[in-house]
Amino acid sequence: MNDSNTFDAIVIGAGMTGGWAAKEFCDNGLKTLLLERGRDVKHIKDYPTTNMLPWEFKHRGRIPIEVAEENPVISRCYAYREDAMHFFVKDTEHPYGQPKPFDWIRGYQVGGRSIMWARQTQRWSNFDFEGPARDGFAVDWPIRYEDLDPWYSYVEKFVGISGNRDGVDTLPDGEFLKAWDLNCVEQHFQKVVQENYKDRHVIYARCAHITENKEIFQKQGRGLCQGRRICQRGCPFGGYFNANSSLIPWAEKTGNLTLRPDSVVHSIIFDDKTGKASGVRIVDRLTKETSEYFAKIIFVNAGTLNSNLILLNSISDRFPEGLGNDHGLLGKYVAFHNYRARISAEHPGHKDFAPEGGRPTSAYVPRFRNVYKQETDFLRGYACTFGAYRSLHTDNDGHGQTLAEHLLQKKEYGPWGVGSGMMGETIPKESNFVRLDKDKTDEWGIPMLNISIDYDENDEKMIHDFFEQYSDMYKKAGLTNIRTSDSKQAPGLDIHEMGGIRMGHDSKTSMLNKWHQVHSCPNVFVTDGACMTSVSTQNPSLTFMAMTARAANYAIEQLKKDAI
Amino acid sequence: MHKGNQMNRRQAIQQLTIMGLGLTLYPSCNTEKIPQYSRVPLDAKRYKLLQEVSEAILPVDHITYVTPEPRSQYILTILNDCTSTEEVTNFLTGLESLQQYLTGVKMSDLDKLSNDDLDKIFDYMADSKGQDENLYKFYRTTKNLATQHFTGCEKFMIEELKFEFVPGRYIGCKEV
Repeated sequence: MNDSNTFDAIVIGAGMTGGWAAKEFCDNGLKTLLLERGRDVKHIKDYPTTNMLPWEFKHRGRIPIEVAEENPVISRCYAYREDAMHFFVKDTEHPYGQPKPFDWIRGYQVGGRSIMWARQTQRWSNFDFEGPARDGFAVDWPIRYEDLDPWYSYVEKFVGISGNRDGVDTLPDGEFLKAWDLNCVEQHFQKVVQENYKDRHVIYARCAHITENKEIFQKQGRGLCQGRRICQRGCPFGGYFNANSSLIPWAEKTGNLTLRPDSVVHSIIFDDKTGKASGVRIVDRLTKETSEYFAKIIFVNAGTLNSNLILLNSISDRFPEGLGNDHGLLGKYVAFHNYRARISAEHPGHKDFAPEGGRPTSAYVPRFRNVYKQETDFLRGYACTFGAYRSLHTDNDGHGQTLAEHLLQKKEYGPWGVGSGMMGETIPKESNFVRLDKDKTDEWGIPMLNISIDYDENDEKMIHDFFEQYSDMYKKAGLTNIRTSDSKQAPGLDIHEMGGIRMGHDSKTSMLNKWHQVHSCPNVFVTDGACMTSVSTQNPSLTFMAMTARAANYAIEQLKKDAI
Repeated sequence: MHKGNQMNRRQAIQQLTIMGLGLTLYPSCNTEKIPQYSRVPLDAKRYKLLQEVSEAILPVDHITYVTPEPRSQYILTILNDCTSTEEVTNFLTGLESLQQYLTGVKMSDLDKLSNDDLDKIFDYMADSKGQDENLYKFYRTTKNLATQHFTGCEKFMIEELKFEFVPGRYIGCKEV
């Protein structure tokens, strides 16, 4: 150990949660090493396509077929297009085992997937935290909404969340900036649902976009969202939140941050004498050289499945099966969101109106199934998007002069289209797990991950119920040409994989305590999606951030008291 | 009527030459190399035919409706980079069918044909579904890509489709 490789804190992963941990540590004077396995990405400077116009792309957005054929997994991701493909990990560059199909969507760079995320930020409620205990699956969460409430507020004020205070008990209100409008068809659907269902609500989705100028955003150098809807390229206005535009430069300004990109974490070093972790072993992505860094506290924020991998690969005499894995639970009880089901239709009314401009999201329907009591033959439920759209259509009939005249003269608005995507809660199960491949290593000598995750009967029943309930709701709203579809997509494409290093009260049945500390190695904290005991229906990133801020401040307190 | 509508196909094709877009409509008359696409190999004769067909199927004023690349280059780039081998094969076979048809009816130079004659050729291609599937697919692909190229250009997107790169607002219910 020497001064150059010793820090107060090490954070593994420079994405959304790692960025939060680093910010909190640096703000509190801790010398912090932030490790990122991928390249550095500087805000604006490294967004090469952010100001490119649609006609400037050689393939007008398409992915070259050779790339798509070589990378079938990533090519199934909705955001993997010509404008943002440089932020996604190619299948060929980082292979993994799939005993069952799993579409693992990754972003290996400073900022991680926070550059390309969908920016939806709904709080959890106690209907979510109390779910496992009430419905008898997984283990009881060691925290409740009241534990996170102030940290949700803390994070929301910094991030900038637009939304309305809707007063819905399943989706608590937060520190909101003003919301964009619902359009007239979304308002129509909202009214119909309100009139017909006392426990179903259509609201404007809360999202991480700045809609009001505030000092905190000016300090970050971020401005108002311009509704460009090309956020996946990185935003030159800083209108949406990502780690690159806010957390990491904020931490750097303190002078306490050392950011080390191109650092593939091999494992956490455990000290048998102290019974704690002493540091982290890394392999340089480019030179393949191994080095070690040391710190009093280590935050694991590598992204759900890579955090599992790192703990599984952290072998010592004390932990031959992986750090903290005294019971064989590590890597198990992984869950995700069921995004297979969609419903769409047309709205025959409001023909004299159309939306103008752009906004970053649309309407949202919080979970209404099995909220207050068990009422179906499946556990839990689903939230849902609701969006209505209308655009100018051209007349492409004919050829020659006729076609030219049609295109230039005959433009009219098509019918309103509406659509909803189900966001279903899946149940964490021991049979959904990840493990290390004993026979295969990657080019940095780290065992490859095998992912074995699948749907179950509960998920199938939920899809069936979603189709029934939303068909009824759509019919009540007078929507026509209603179509349902089941994409049958593999787990993973929801990009909401969670668990494997779950929290719980009991060290015999969980990996982490209520402060996200590994029960048997308390100076190691896991605060990304890997810590999740269950997955609820809401987009999880806001909860990950609130959890990270809470755990980081706890760790700082303990460090100051020399209790860790 | 829009300015672009007053232009006939012959003028549109001739403009390509005037603009000096790095391509020639008459490669058989000089030694200039034609662009090479590894998955869509074309000799000079077929390249010229594709140029003429892709312009004649949607004649527009390229000075007013500026695009980053000539239309034939766009079509060949998308075919070469973004379509399956089967689609490329269909396209090339369809192009060959067209070449043979034009030879048979002694209409080899499209830029010398009247609008009526061109319409007859396109009608023949559009009606070839079920009789010459590859010719029909060639027609559909060329028309679709030509249309995408035109409707995706800056002027069309901004003026006709009301595209805004930085809207800065959202109005949910605007009277139209």
